[in-house]
Amino acid sequence: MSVENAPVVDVDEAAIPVEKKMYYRFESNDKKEFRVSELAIQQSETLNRLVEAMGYTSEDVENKPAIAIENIDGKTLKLVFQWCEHHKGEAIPVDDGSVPKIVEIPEFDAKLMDIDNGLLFKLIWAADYLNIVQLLNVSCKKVANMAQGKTPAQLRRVYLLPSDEEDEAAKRAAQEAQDPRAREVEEEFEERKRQGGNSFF
Amino acid sequence: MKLFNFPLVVLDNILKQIPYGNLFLISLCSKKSISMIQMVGWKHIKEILYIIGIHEESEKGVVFIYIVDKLKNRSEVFSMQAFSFTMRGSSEITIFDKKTRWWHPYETHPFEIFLLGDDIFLQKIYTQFDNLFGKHAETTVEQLYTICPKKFLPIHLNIVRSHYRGVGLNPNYTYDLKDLEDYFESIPEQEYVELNMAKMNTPLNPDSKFFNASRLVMFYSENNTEHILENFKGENICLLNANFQCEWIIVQLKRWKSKEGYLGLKKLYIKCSLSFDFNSMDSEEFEKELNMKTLPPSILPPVVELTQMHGLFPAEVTIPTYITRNDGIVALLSVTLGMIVLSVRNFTEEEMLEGNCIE
Repeated sequence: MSVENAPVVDVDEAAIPVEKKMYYRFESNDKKEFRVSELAIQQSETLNRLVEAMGYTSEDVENKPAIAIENIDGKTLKLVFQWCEHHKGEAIPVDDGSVPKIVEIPEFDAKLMDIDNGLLFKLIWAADYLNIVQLLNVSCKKVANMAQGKTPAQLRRVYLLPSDEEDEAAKRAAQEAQDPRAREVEEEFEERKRQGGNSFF
Repeated sequence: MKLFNFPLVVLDNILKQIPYGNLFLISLCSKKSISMIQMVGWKHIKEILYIIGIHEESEKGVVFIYIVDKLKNRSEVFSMQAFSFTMRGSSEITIFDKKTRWWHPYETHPFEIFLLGDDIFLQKIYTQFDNLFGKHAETTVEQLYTICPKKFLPIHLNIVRSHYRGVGLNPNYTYDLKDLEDYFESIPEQEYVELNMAKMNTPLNPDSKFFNASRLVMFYSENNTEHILENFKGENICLLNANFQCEWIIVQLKRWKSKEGYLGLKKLYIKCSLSFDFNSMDSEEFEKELNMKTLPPSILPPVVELTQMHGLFPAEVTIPTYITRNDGIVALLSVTLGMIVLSVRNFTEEEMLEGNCIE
């Protein structure tokens, strides 16, 4: 996809200092490309370190291939970068170890996270992978809020918590699924030994 | 939303944002849920406080569970109505395979569970809660209004502090000492015991483990106080709003001097009530009877910290005078209007004067 056709995340250009006005290009695992301001990238420790290490100039950014983020899809990455652009320049919270964590979900974030559970799950994964502390905090808060006012039976459904019986059954199934392969490996090893090989590999 | 599919660091973040009460309810879903919640560690929880006021005969009572963090912040987790379930707006809930009712009018507020008088059910809840959050926490039990039947108390937990608060519904309630003794026999020796507005029907057995508590605070105690003090074997005694005869206090201090009692005592703090006869408090009599001495000018009078309670009393006092035990051990002694402070040091008078130091 060309840069011209890439989805551009809303940017408040007036809020960006002149010297920071550089846009990096990122590509999701389904080949969607995004242009993200340098200031917004600072919300992600992972991406910030990456672009620092690359040391791109403005020309490099335009001429070199987009930076691939291979394990996040376009739909999720769009939400991530929208969040980063909206919160660019904000201080990154430091975990002071206080429990329970006091996290407020701002209106913008609440709207952004008004999505189905599947996408929310991916967003949390992405926030964790890209190390975006505050996005992780607010998205986890959204999941935490799902517990409010629920009975154990309802909580089981909300969080898809298996019962002890289901856990046992899953454990047995996993063992059974693992055993045939273990047997295969063993048989292969025995066969090779019979053929006179010294090493399994 | 499969909670178990999140990486541990994410799970930790989510769990730390779920209120403790909701975590308790999640823990009821499976053994794996329990392990998941325990995984967080909850090192900041320093105390789990159970406030219990249950009167079985009248079928009235309530249990509150609080968590106290390392900064002494106290937050209510949930409460339990011991008997009734007539609360309008309550709904059905199944806990430990038992169908009961619960009430949660506001999602963000602590909820209330109805126990229906089932003490075994209550004990299971205590155990589960301690299992989840009690690893680094001490257990305090505070009994309100009455002495609760033992079967409603978490006596199988490692209780280190016990409070009795007679304040409130029934100011004329008299503690049945047999119940009190029975309670202290069921639990380890206490680090801290507090009796508040305590009236007692008979003297406590001098052999009761009650007297082995390390610290004892009595507040507005009306009778039996002298007997309790005479038999106390712990380190710290604090009597607030007390009412005594000065002669009796002098006798007790003489017992300390002659090592006839209070062998483990480190600090005694008595603050007399307003009904105390302040005119009877003659500091000269104390000085004469106890052979009180003043520290030499070369030794700076030390500051002694006092037990704080409701912010009503001074937090510290500077004491320039002392008495000595018959083995030479020094105790700073302050006798002012309506207040007596004794602070036992771990050196002799000779050592103090030689070292020219009180610390």
